[in-house]
Amino acid sequence: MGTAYLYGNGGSGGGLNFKLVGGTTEPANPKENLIWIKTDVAISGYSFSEAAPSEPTEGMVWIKVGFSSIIAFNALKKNCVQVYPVSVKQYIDGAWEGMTADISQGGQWKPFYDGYLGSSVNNLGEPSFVVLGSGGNCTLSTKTFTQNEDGSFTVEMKNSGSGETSWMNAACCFPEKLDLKDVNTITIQYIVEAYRLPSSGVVVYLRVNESPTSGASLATQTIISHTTAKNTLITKNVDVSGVDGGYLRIFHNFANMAEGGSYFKIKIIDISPS
Amino acid sequence: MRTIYIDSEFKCHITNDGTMTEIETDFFDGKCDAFVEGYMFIPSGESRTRSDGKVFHGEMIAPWKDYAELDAAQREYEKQLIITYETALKKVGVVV
Repeated sequence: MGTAYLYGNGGSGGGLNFKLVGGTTEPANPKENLIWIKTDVAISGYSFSEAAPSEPTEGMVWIKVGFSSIIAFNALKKNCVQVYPVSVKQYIDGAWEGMTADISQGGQWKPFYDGYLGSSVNNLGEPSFVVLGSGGNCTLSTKTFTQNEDGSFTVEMKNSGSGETSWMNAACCFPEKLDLKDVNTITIQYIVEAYRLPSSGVVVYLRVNESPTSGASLATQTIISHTTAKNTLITKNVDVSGVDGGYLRIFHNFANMAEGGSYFKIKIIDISPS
Repeated sequence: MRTIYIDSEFKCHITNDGTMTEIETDFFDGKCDAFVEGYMFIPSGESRTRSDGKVFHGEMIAPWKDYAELDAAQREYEKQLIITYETALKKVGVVV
């Protein structure tokens, strides 16, 4: 799945517009697009690719790329090869390990995060839909997850029951756990395209474990209420300063509308630390 | 559903000192008091600015204490609940 985007085994030169170094101390006075990986294992080579290199050598660095990144850069000095780095891993003792890494851009160090950075499409995994309870003739008739070409994704869920007062909980559950150890805030950018909701809303939950039916919820942020503007870019933050990690859920407590059931369609532009 | 109270910093409390806002929520169902009081609750339509300048809009519910500490308190609470139930069951002759 995917192809190697860039491969190398050295620093800059040869027309490259970036450099990759390892070490336990962050370099002083870095040049633009210097990537520093906090490691005491010698870097034997590197690969920018969507999928992990199939034949890694000890010390190899894999920089996962996606469709968008808040630390995107042009990899070449003259022509343009735009790179969208997402996370950094190094092959140590036969396994890929998530690494602490920073890139110098605009005079600042900007961090990579093992787990996710930028577009959630590339990092949170393919979600599943789970109905957590039901009543009456409620049915989750629509449950779609669409990856868009611009790196965003769209979730649509619909409860088609009508004429009843029963309800159910349903969640779009992402399988990859977010590493939030050095993260105090998650920022969610989204556009609500459509909804028909009662007073209950749609929330983003962080859960302790992957199972949506057990375990505790760590934090929530309401992303759609019955008064949310449609077709408008919205930004919401979640304070995760007390949380080390969690699984993301988009959750709706569906209540039956008088006619036609309740539903929503939301385009998530980005979920990232900030 | 449970009634909690939030202070001016949106921190949760289980009792009202007379200045707090009453909130009904099911987020804390089954949770012990120590767990509840480690959380903040920002109601819809309100916002909180953290000391670093980050703004959070409601409705948002998140721990302001380290979750590991809250989790430890909740596990101890549940352990004591089990002991209480087992004791009660034994008194009526149920073997647990």
